[in-house]
Amino acid sequence: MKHLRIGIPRGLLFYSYAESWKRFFQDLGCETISSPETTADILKEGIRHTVSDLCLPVKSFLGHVAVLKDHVDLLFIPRHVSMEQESYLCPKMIGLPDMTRACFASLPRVLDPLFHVKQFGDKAIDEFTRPVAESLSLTPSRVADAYREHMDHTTEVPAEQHRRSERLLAEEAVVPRFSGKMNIGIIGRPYLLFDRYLSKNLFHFTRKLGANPLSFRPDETEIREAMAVIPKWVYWDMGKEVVAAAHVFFKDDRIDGVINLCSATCGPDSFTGDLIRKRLNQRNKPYMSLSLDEHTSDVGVQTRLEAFIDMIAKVTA
Amino acid sequence: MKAFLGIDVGSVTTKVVLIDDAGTVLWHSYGKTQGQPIRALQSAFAALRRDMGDTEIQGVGTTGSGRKLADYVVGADVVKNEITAHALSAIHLIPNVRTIVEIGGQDSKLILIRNRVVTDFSMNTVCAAGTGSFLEHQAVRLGISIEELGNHALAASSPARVAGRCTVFAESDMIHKQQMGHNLEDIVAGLCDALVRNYLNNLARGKDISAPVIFQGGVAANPGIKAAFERELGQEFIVPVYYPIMGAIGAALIARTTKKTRFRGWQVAEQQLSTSSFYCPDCPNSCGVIEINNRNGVIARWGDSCGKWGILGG
Repeated sequence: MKHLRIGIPRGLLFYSYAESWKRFFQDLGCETISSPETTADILKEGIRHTVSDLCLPVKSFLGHVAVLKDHVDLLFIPRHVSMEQESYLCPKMIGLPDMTRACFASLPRVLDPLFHVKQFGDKAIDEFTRPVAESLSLTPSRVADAYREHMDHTTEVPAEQHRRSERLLAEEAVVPRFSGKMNIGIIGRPYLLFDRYLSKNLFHFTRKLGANPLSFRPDETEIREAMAVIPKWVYWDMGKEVVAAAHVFFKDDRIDGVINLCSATCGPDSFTGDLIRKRLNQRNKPYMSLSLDEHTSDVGVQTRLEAFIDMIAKVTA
Repeated sequence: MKAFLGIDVGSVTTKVVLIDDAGTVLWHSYGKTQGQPIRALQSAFAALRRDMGDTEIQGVGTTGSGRKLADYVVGADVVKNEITAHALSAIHLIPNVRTIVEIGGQDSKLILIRNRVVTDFSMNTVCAAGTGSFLEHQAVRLGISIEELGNHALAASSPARVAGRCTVFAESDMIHKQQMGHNLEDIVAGLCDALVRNYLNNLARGKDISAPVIFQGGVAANPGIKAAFERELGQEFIVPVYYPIMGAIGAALIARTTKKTRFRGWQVAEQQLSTSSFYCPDCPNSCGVIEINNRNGVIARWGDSCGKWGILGG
């Protein structure tokens, strides 16, 4: 039997979960195809298909859909609403399957299972796996087994999950490796940090300027510690990780400065950015928020990065 | 005589200064870039050569959004970002400075300084509302020169409320106010207030703006903006003598450490230079590659992210 080809656009949660998604579908006898790394052309395609109010990573995601759509049998665009109790993903991610359908005249079938721990609790897995089982003509129990094997982000092994994702992110996903040089902690959503094109090659240019960029995904303990410092838990799943990473970097003496990479119109980032600046940077470490948009030039990012490194090096003294 | 050159190629204006070892300004020029940075640079150099042609240039620093281009044209020893350049000149001229407010043609900056060290900075993010270009555009629309704008604002008795979050909104708001019958002075004063609000919202939120505050960049020429800042913050804004060329002075100051300069010499003013660009077809990134040509061919090329086209130190 011919394998079903499942297309996984390289954008948004791809950068957090793609490795598990791929193994999940492969285990179910499907072939997975992802789009290539973001390029100017892919982003241009995304912008062409969408409205201007959307954020940069969503535009890029739709560009990846455009690249994949004619080469696959199914597009996998899960509807992640909440990954755990008391938190949500951003509305654009919740509405991603609908937005994708609205932006393209013709699409292969979109497989958009719902993942909603807040509403379904332990039953969230069943809610997720049932439509997958239907689409792939498999028994729900087989799909649920594959899910538990590869995708269960809710059980108590997040550290392992994180390590797997890091391997996936290849060279840019640096596990903290300090050097004698200036160490700069870089925080932000994985889909910006590890997309070389969208991040304007921030890691590369930081290295080129003689500094050492570091990034990591905080574990549950680090998230809990960070949440204890701020007035209430952060409402957004990914925002929580960004806040926790900031907290770890601000406390660590080996880190000389922290850069928060965000997209210009990101709602959650505008809240967490303020929290980070006002509540977490109690030792007044050099901190800069870099916001990305559709500017084709890298100059804006580079000017700020150079100035930030000059500031840490105290060149005016 | 020996001296150091500082060049600030901004989006709207091009500034060139000559300083001596002690950092004293010997000569300066300020001209419109008008979308042609090379021509702007060359005409500044022609004037510099005419006035100061017997000077021995010992070091060159460039800054501004066209700093790289200026480097290729002139031969620079230091290419520095605008934040550091502005901070250096302000600290040099006003050693106890604690806050720098800089508003140029296309961007604006806030730099905090404590004990001669930059401790924090911010730049306007994605839009040019609240910069010189916006003011100039509105001045043209109102039929007054940019130089007069500030004095009109100072003559206002009751500034109109103008939305400042976006230039497009501000413009339609101003048109609305003018059709309602508000006088020119009040509208212009409202525009200044809007620009200041925009600046403070975007750049200064949560930042400690403490005295002395130095106000520099081209927009510091506008007494209406200065007054609006002072009204809003209840603090004096000091406009230094060299307010429009502070970036260039900063670039020149950094160049003072040069041992052997890469300066191409006075013929810079006469070189036949042209630029051209193409989109590289070799991969989907389609990088825009810029070339500078002289009579003999390409002398510099940059803009490609992989480096395959870059020549001459690109």
